[in-house]
Amino acid sequence: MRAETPLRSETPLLSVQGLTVTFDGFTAVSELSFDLYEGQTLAIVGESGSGKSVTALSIMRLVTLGTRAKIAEGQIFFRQPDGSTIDLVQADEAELRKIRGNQISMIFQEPLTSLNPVYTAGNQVVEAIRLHQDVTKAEAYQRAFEVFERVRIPEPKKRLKEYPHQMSGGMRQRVMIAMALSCDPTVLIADEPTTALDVTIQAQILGLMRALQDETGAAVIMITHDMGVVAEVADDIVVMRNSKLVETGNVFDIFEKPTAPYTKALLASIPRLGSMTGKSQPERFDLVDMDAPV
Amino acid sequence: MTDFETLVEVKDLCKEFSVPGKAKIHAVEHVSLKVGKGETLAVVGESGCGKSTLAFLIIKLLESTGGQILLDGHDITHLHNKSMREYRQKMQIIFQDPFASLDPRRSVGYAVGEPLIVHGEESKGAALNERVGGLFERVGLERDHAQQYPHQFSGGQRQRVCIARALALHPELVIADESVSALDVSVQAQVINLMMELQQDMGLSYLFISHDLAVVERIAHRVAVMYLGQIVELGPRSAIFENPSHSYTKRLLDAVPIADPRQRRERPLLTGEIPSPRWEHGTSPELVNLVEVEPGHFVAEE
Amino acid sequence: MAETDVHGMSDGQELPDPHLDTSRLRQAPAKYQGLRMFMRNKAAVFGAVLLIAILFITFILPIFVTGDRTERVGSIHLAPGAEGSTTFGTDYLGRDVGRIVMQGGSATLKVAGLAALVIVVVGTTIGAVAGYYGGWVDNVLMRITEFFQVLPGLLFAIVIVALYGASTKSIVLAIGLIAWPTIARLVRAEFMRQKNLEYVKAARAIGASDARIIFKTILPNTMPVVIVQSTLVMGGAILFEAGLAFLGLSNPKDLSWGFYIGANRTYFLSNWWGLTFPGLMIFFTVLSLSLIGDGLQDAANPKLRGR
Repeated sequence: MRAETPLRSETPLLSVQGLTVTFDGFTAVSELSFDLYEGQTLAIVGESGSGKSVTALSIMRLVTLGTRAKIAEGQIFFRQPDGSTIDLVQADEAELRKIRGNQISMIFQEPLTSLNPVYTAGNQVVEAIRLHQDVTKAEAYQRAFEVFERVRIPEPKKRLKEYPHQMSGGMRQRVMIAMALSCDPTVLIADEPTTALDVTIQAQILGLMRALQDETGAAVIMITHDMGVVAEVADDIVVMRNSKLVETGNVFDIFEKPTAPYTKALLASIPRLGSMTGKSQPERFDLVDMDAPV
Repeated sequence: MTDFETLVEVKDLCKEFSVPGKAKIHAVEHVSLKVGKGETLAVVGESGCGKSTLAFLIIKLLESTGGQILLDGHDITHLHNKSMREYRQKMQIIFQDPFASLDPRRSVGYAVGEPLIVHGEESKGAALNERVGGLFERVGLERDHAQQYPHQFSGGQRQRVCIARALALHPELVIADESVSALDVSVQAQVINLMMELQQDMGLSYLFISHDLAVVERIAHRVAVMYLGQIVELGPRSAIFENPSHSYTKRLLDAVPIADPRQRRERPLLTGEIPSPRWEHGTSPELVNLVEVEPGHFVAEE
Repeated sequence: MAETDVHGMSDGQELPDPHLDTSRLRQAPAKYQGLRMFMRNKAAVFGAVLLIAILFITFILPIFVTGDRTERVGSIHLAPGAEGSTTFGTDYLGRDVGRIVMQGGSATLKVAGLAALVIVVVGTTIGAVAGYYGGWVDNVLMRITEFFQVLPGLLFAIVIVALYGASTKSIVLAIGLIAWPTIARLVRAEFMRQKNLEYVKAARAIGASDARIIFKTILPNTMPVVIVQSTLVMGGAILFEAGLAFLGLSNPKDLSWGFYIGANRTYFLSNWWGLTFPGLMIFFTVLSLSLIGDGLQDAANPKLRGR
């Protein structure tokens, strides 16, 4: 079990300040600020439409792809491995391409569609490595083999040669994680990485992510709607609702002493395994009004 | 074992699908269970375990390849269209995706009133509107909502509309196939509360198909755990959750993340796959033998 | 660390587990699956055999058949099999119909092949760029596409050929210019669909450039559609070339199938073979391409694979 409050260096690794993202006049994220420190797992929690995924895509500056979204205001300061700090909102495409997948990488919800169906798993990881590192194909392949081992893919040699459709959902998600870790990023953004998986497979992936974080020391931003997942992996939480930050703090504080009515309502509506122990009949949720004044 | 009078009984129900490559999917293998009047029986399991197929078989959206389905003591296994009609009213299903199960070009009031028209209970006019309005109120919506279209509603409201539609013909059994899985947690809790309230007021029976054990723990009287098309453990909720006896049930319960950071679980770094119920021609799964370990609590022998 | 490849994460294996042997679930290597699907479609296999036969007749066989096709081999209008005639009869100049049809195919196929290449390259590039970038880029490119689409095709081709002369180059250009919009629209639609899929997002997230995403990420995924469509485009190009040649808009020295049909049409009532044999060749070539296209459609559909 990890320490409840991780040690923090003075300066955050990633600092989002006053981020506002709009789509055709509709505000998807509004004046959001939070900091991410080295080795920290920060969960951004919210229900659909809360703006949590848009936040993740904004950090990668992927939010504008094919949409009319734009980052209207705010800064996202990122401390690069060489010590320099860059504002990702102002960075140009060339700079961003160097950062994406290399220093900040991302895994997505749907392991079914997040791998390219026409390439083998190995090929995709090799390409990701060669995009950022000046290595030969053979060296990249060796590196891919190592990350496959690191994410505990059984028979890594064989799996490298397989196509995504030959793999189960859990295995594909491991490949995605391998690809994300292949260049030793300092920040890993995981957008609902276990939502599409069955519960026993989800447990494996969560366990894996926890172990990998201990091994690599990468900071993780976990985007999720599942409070169970949050309770299991997060150090700190950002609760979002309707594009705004509702509450932020340490995972224990939020779960035990939530202050915002919305957080209270959210926590009251979660089915908690074991909460019915000793009760003979089914029982309704004791719901809290989420719009109650503080 | 249960205090409930039996409403639906399923005996040795089987469903096989032929798949290309000379193989068969044994989706449901000799499943036997009962749903009592006013009771919620939850069927849990992971993808491919056959829980949804079982629901479809019972409501006869799929034709079983073996076994019997008894509704109120009547064998409905081989009934079709006309002879099935009166029984069909007694069983309704609510699906996972409320948006996909509503016609986007029809008002939601039409969707709720349609079963009444189809079954000749009401034709058009004030009486129909009155009943539809009543159903809307019953599920916590406003009467005026009937005029609106599915896209004007939130996911939770749409699921309420689907529940209203299911209730239109006064069913005795409502099959909920992952009905709350796609909803946001706060909405999910409200819909679950509504379902429990309706059960109390109307004496409904639920066959609650779900992969979410935490939800099941809230709503179920009894629980059946399915694995590879077979029931491996069946019993009262407290027995399944407090005294799980089959190793698969334990594994399933261990895997659920608990929404409490003080209860973080150690996760072994294993890799595993969910097995497939696909069997080559000439092979078939071995049948499990259920043993009653305590009253009403059945566990497959391992 | 103990790692098992079975679902059993606890010690006892409680159920007969068909997944113990995980290899059972895995399918044959993907590269052969396409071929297998294709081979399963009998009509497509027939089409492929037919096309190979046609290619053999037009490109290989002429190497072994000596003699100039323009040379007179007997009296004019001799029916096939008649005395002093050849297997396929003679035409209005006493030339061997069989030899002309055999050798004329290469001109038709060359023009059609080149035209199809132009169509596919131009159509795919424009469709890809329009679909990927969207917005004003898409608007401009689609207006251009529509302009070419509403042009009366044959008339436009006649103008081009009349302006630049009846050379292979001008005919290829003419066919290419009027036929690319179909592929462009198809590829654009595919790109618009695929660019929102997560693997494309994932590619951007690893730092891939636009060019890389267009050509190395999305394009390989649209290739099935493009390949299927290009067989149909090729069939269409053959018909179009035949049409132009029939009207006399082709290099007369090539004696292509279409041109030859045009040349023989005056004698149709007394000389059926001069028209029928080149006509049959066009018919079978187009048929074989369309059957192959159908088979490729099955082969390219991953949902049908592994069955």
